Parts: sequence; C-alpha cells; structure tokens
Amino acid sequence: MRAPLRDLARRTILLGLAGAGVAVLAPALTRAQAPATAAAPATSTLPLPLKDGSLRFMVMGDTGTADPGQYETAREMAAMRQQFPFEFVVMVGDNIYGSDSAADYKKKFEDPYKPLLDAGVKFYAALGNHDNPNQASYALFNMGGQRYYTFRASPGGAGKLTHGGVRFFAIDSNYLRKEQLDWLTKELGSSGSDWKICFFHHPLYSSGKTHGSSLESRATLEPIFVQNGVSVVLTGHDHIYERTKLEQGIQHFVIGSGGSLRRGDLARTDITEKGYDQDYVFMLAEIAGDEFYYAAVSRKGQIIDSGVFKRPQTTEASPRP
Amino acid sequence: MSLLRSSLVWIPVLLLCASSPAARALDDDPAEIQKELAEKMAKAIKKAEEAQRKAAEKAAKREKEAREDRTEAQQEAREKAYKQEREAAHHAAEAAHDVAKLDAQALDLMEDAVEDYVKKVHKPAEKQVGTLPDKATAAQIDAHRRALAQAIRAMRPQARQGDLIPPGAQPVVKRVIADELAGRAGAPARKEILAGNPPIDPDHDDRMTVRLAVNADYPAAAALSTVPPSVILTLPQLRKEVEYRFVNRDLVLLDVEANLILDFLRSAAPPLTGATAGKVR
Repeated sequence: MRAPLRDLARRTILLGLAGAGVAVLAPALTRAQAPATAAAPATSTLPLPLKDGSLRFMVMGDTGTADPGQYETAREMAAMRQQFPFEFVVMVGDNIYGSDSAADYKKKFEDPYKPLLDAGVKFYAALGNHDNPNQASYALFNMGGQRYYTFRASPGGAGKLTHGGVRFFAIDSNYLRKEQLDWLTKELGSSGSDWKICFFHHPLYSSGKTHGSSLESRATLEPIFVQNGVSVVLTGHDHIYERTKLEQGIQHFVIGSGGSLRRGDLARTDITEKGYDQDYVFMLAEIAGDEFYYAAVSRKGQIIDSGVFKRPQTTEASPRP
Repeated sequence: MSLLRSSLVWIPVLLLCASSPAARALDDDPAEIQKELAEKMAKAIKKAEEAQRKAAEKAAKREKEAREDRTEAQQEAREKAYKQEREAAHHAAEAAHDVAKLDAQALDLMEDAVEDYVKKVHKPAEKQVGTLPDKATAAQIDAHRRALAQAIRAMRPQARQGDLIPPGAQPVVKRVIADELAGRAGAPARKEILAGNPPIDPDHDDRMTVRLAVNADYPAAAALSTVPPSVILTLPQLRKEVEYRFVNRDLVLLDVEANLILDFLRSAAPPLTGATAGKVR
C-alpha cells in the first residue's frame, strides 16, 4: 500500500492563468508527517489555476469495490485536496459493487473516503448498473431520495452567485423511463445556468473495449442535451479514463477507473482525444467563468491529462439558474 | 456449364445471407445507424407519450370511480362491470380478427395487474413498514428493504408466475421486445441489455447466477441489467415501484424498493449472445 501524501513534498502547484499562458510556479506544500521511508515520488504539477471564486470539484467513477486500488486512489484524492481544495465530489455510478449491507457501505465508501467526509466534502452520486436504486436514500450520497436530481453549485461559496453559475444534473442511465426524460427536458430547459453539466453511468461516447458507447442512450439523451445547452457530460462504466473530442458541442469524459481498473481496455478510436488505461484515475475540475480546467490524476499522483476548454455553448439567463 | 450451375446454386444462399441481420450489420455505416437509431427512438418516445396520455386518462377515471364508490359493494360491482366490459371488448376484437386491438388489450391486462399490485400490495406494505427517509443511513436502507420485502411476501403468499405478466400478454411482450432488438437498429439495444445482465455481462468478473422465483429476493450482490430506452418506452408503462430487468433472456418484473422478484417471463428476448444474436458493435 502506498503511504498517503508521500510525494506531496516534491510536487509543485501551477498557479495563475494557465489558460492564458501566464504561469506562476509556487513552491509545493510541505508535509512534516511524510514518511521517511517513502520511495522516490513522481514529480507532478497540478495544472489548475485555483482562481479566486472558482468552483472546484472532483469526479470519480466505478469506485465501490473495497479493493486496495480503491483505497490507494482514495488516499491520493485526499492528498490532492491539500493542494486543490475541492468542495464536493461527483460520483458517476457503481458506487457500491456486490452486496450492499451496512458493512458494505462502510468498507466500500465510508472508510476509503473518510478523510474527505471528515473534511466536510459532499458527495453527489449517480446510479450505476451495480447500484441498488435504494442508494438514492443514502444520506451521504446527497440524492434526496431521488434517482435523478439536480443541484446548483455556487462558485466561491453559497450565496455569492445571483444568476448563471453551474448546475449539475444526475441521471439514472440504467433505466431511462419517459418520466425521467420529461423531467430532464423540463429541468434543463428551465435552467439559465451558464454551465449545465450532466453526470451518469453509461457513456454516450467511449472507446472502452468492454462496453463502449451506449448508442441507444446517446440517441435518447444527446438531442435533449444539444437542445438545452449542456456543455459537459461525465460518465463511467468502462474502467478507463477517456476525454473525447467535442461531440455535438459537448465535452464528454469517461472516468470509470476510480476503484476498478481494466488495463488495456482502451481501444483508441476517432472519438478519443486522450485516454489512459494503465492505472486508477480520478479527475479534478475547476470552473472559472467561461473556462473549465481539468486534471486527470492517477493513483500514483501522476497527471495523466490536463487542459482547459471554454464553455462551448451559451444559454440565455433565465429566472431559475 | 458446371461452373454456371454451381454459381446458380449459390445465388439464393447469398441472397439469404445478405438479408439476415448479421450480414446487414457487416456493412454498417455508423452515420446511417445513428440516423436509423434516431428514428427508432423518436418512434419509441412517441409511443411512450401516447401510453402516458392513456395512463393519465385511466388514472383520472380510477380516481373518479374511487370517489364515487363509497362502499366495498359498490367497488366490487364496478370491478365486475369493468371485467365484463373488458371481456366483451375482447370477444369483439377476436371476432373481427383485430390483432392490434387484441395486443393492446393483452398489454392493458398487464398494466392493470401491475397497477393492482402497487395499489393493493406495495402501498399497504409500505404503509405497514413506514417510508424510508430521504437521508437514511446504510443500516436503515438495509432494514427497510428487508422489512418491505417481508411484508410484500406476506401479502401475496400465493403469488405465482404469470400473475403480473398474464399468459395473454406474454406473446405480445415477447413480440414487442423482439421488434426492438431486431436487425441493425436493434444491435445497440442488444448490447446494452448485456451490461449488468448477471449471467452474460461482458465483464466476466461480474457474472453470477440468479435463480428466478416469484417472491424471491433479487440477489443483492448481482448487478442489474441495463434496460435499453427503446424497450422501456415501448413495453407497457409501469408504475415507478415496478421495473423491467433482464436476467439473460428472461424478463423480470422487480419491485425496486424491496428488491423482490414479482414475476418473470422466460426467453422474453431473442438470443443476445452467440451466432444467432446478430452482430453487436
């Protein structure tokens, strides 16, 4: 097992306007408690600007295995939060694999993410095909008893935003019944948020060999997304990391290796912009105005993908952001 | 001459192969498939809209009747009259060989059976055990599920296969599913059914056997199959308490909150894997 935060001392943080090409390298955070026996750490820069008043969150998928890989990745998440203080976590499904007794919730979710939970980080879950729908009532998943729901995130803290901003939409892609499609169309249509981000389990675009793109779900959901100005889609299911090219003006991410990994499962296709299938991965994200910064981080703390893109679509502000 | 004769022998075989779904899928053009799929989904959504409208009408009618029927005797009389009316309509459709109407009636029976289950079993059972709070602990979720399943079992001890998917509806359900899964446009749906489908999940690590029995728990450790939107939207629209799932090719009606198998239909879907399944991209 890797010691938590062991390579933090050697890391550097990239502060400033990365997107504009102005970068200030700040000294890394140091940690007195770093174990002396730590092996030579990988040096990584965290290419996130940490802008004033920005919205910071983490994305993880296919986590709930209780395997050592999940625990090691969870420790890296906690380590990364020292550098990049994200406010909440988006879970793209398969939160609890296999049996789901109280003990399972503990060892597959509460224990690995204890440092984050203790720090007050909120988790917002979507359901995967391994998840019992009753998870919607689990307090720590913040689903409010609903299998599909929406929440608004306020950059810079609650109350600082009067309009616009970021709204997330959790979808239950296991079971797209008509009521859910109606709800989604209505909620997306009535939202005047600058950023509309949908998250769910089955990827509409994926180059994973095991599952790949969910074409029926794509044919069902994509027209709703396009029509209503969705900018980003976060999914899992394939146990890889993939950032696609823009599809219909939407940036898709597959982040399905937060606790389960299928090495060699990525078959790069013409939709792939960047992919990785050699280690567990989670993603850090920062939204500052019209810019979305992302950094995909491996279990070992390596930045395997990073960048920034501008909001592809602009929607008119409406009374309910 | 013999060459010409042998070529002639192959022509029907080639024609047959070219028209089979598997062969057609070989020359799939992704853009064309997307287009075909978009049309298919638009049709499915339209069908679901129609079903939704019909369900709303039915619900309003039921509500009105519930207000009018103050005594149990009145309720019984209403149900009897309704049954007679339904039987008469069925005989009329049979006499007229109106297949579409007969199919619709058969699916109506299934919808009514599920509606009855929710009203007469699920809701009272839920009332008995109490509702799960929106912000529950893991222990509360587990205890609630077990208690609800137990209460439901106790309320329908004689339940048997075919109660909710009545025999008359079974061939229609099979036909609806087969239509949605057929050919090139059905390939994505066939593939989506495999995800989380316990015995045939593409992720071999997740595979497990699920024994289907009415009133049995759906194993907590087993994944739930994805149900393709086209299938959900074209089968009878059920109340949210009850969902369709697949275990291999068998269709299962599941009480979601209780994680309980309510009914199932064997071989409801055509082969999903193997040579007969057609090419799945």
